[in-house]
Amino acid sequence: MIQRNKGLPLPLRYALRTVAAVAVFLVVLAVLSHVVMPKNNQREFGQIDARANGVMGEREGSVDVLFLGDSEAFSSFSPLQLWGDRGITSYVSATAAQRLCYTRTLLARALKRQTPRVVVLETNCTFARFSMADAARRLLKDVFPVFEYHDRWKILTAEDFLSPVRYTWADELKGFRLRRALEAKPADTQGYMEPTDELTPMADLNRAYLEQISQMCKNAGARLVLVSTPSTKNWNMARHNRIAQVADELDVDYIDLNSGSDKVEIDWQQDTYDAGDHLNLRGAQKVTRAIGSILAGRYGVGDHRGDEAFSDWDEAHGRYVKRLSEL
Amino acid sequence: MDAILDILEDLKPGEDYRTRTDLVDARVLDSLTILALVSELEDAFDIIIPAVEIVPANFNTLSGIWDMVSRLRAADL
Amino acid sequence: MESYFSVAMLGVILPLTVLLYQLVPPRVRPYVLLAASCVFYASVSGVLIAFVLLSAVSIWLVGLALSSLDRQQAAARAAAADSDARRAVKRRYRRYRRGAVTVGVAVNIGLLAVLRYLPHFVPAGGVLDISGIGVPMGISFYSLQAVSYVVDVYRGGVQAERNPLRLALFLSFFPQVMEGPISRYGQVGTSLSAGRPITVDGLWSGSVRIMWGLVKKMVVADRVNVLVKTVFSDHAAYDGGVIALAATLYTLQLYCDFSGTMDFAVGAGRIFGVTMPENFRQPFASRTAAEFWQRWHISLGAWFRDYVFYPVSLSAPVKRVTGAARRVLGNRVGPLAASGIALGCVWLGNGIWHGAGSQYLLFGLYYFVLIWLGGFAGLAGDAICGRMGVSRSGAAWRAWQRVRTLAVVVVGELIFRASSAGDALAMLGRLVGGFTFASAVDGTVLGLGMDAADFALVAVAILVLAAVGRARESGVHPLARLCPAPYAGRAAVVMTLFLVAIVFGAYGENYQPVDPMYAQF
Repeated sequence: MIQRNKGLPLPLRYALRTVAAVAVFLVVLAVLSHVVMPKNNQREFGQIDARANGVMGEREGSVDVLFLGDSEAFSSFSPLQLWGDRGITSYVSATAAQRLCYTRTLLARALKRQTPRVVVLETNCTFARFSMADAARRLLKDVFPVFEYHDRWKILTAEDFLSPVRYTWADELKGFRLRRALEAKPADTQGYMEPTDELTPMADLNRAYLEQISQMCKNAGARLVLVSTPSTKNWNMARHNRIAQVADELDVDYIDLNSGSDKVEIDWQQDTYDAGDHLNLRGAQKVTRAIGSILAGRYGVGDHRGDEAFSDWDEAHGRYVKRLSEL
Repeated sequence: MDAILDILEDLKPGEDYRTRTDLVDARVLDSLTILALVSELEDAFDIIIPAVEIVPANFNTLSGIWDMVSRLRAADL
Repeated sequence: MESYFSVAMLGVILPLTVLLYQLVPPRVRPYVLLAASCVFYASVSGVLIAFVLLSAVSIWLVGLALSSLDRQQAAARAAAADSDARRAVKRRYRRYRRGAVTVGVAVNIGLLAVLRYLPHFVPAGGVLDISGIGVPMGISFYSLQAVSYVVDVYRGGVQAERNPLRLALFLSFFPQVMEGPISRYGQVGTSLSAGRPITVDGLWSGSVRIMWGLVKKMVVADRVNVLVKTVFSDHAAYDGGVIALAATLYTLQLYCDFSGTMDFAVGAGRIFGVTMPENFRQPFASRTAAEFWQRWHISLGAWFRDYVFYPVSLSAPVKRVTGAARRVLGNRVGPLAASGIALGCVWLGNGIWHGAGSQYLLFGLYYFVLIWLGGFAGLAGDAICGRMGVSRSGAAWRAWQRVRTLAVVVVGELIFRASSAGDALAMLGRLVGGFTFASAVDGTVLGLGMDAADFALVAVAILVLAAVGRARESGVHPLARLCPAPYAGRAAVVMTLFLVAIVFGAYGENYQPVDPMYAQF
């Protein structure tokens, strides 16, 4: 290398060497990334946000609807109820306080092996602020997982060096959560969804990520649907107005379950476990019933019940029903 | 010059004050020693050394100290 | 506040500044640095950057006034008829010059006092409640630099600067504005405004230094943070053994965090051809508390020495006390006893500089007593050992001194980290009265935020730091040694350090981000 470069001018030689050094560095990062990555998508293997990432362990091409969002999503949509009601296969890739940069990541991961017909994005997370630095860090973690999983140096085994990365695990509840399912704490509905012409501002970065997410869905042949789940704490008309406007600009559908023709009748005395922030099981059941009707009716998402290939969904649903009865 | 050397030897014996050029930088003279040195010099040469003069350049070498003392004596006249 | 070791700084601000700096003509380069510094400052403190600029303007004006007084004095002196008239001129101008420097010092210390300390003492909501303004980043550091500039011009060690932008850069230079080092205009002024080209050597050695700091901060300091926080925030729940561990780890954390940040400052300075003063010189090799402060946060100790200790010691009233003490107590003990006055001022100032909390006053008092009494003990020890013919230069004696000083330092940092002087005393009480190894034996020590792997890694890090420190003590700089190696070798060093930080750094999922520790002072 040095021999060959002897005739080159000094700056060019330095440039070439720098390129070579950076290349070596990136290769080392890639190798380290492989080593520290969990070798399966299970918590026990070190997977971060295993429940949300469980969608990668679902059978290839088996999930028709993908739910994305923050805690509003995982406490509102129950895929196994959706299966029982409508025979729709779905998965909730939601994490607490999700930012859109992570939503993008989870969507990209799901789209690797799934071809959902509809992607539902719960809208609360579209307003959650994040910085350019957050976005950069997320991107870095996606390209080089060593930035996300470096702490696994503590528990590395021979397998980590030798085995490939596989995804075989999926969450028992398909991403839905039953924490505090039966608790109830009444919400204060004063001023909830009061009409206004105001628009809640949306950061440019959030807007840009929404656009990118919409584009990814289009490329994958999926319909992106923005859905606002009922919440007295998180939703209001100013936010509604903004999302309606953005949905219009991005040419995607917007469904607000808080108001209008799609409104879900929530009993704010009984259907929320933390005073109108999140829905409990009763609330989730109402929302899931409503969204099931919309998905089947408006988007024609098919019924897989009775299909031999989906018998595992029947089994999972059976366990789900039993688990609810034992709560 | 020899008077200064005697004072230095008395304050902190065993250093080669004639040749060293880093008395402050090498911390041979720490702040307390410098203060003691200053008061000895003031007595011996009947001068007043103001805080302005306490800079490494004036104390790093024996000749630096001597120059400072000579300068202050001249200025006082 | 994010530390210098952030994506924004290492990935955007620093590389862009380097690039821009190199592309523009040398004359413009200092302004590139100033612009980058302003952008960085405003990104953290917003409009509070006005206070930095205000300080810069104040010292610029005072500097100009002092140099103009010098010229007038020279003219008046030349015009004076005899030596009596010359003396009168001298006296008059001494008064003017003192007035000018007093204004410069008062403005900057006043701003520091008002912005940083007033909110602690006035009731919230009152007329004087200015806590809404916030504290400008690094005000404790740049204010001391501002004072040093006006005093240095007054003393004649530094020429008054005619270009106010150079002074603005001196105060706000982005690698040092957050936590120092507290540099002097005589040290960095020329090179800051020289616009020297970036050299391959400077770029490499600067990068290596920055990476070394990154490793110290991310691998060690941030790793022990959780345990330190857990124990100090609820110290009553832990026995003396755990408190000793937490205080020791806090000392390590503070060292790695602060000196790591200094590595950034020195390294980034090196890239731009600016030689920053070193702030640390193997502090844990110190044999006395006094020596520790010549090796730890050197620029702060030096500032207090030059602008408090000497002026107080050499002021007329203190000189009279010193003279009296010498007559009564003799040539050795006398000056030492009298130095207590100046030393007291230094340590009161040092304590207050760190914050308004009672723990900082106790911290200052602790070192004042140790260093002052340490002087007497040293004299007594010399006398006793001299009479008994015992040598105190053996290796065993030196090792004992180091261990003893380390303990003194750990106790000092315990006081420093405690939430109040009362907490500090309570913790010290349990450290002495309730010391057990029980937590280590039953394994509860592993539940405080560091698991076995963390402790193992920290142990390895301590060994590496000790080895590097030893090498530097004996005059070898391991990193500098690696740097003259050919390109591939240097690249390997930078990359390896970076990779160590990436893999073994305490960041991400299982850790909390840690604010740069000295930026709060």
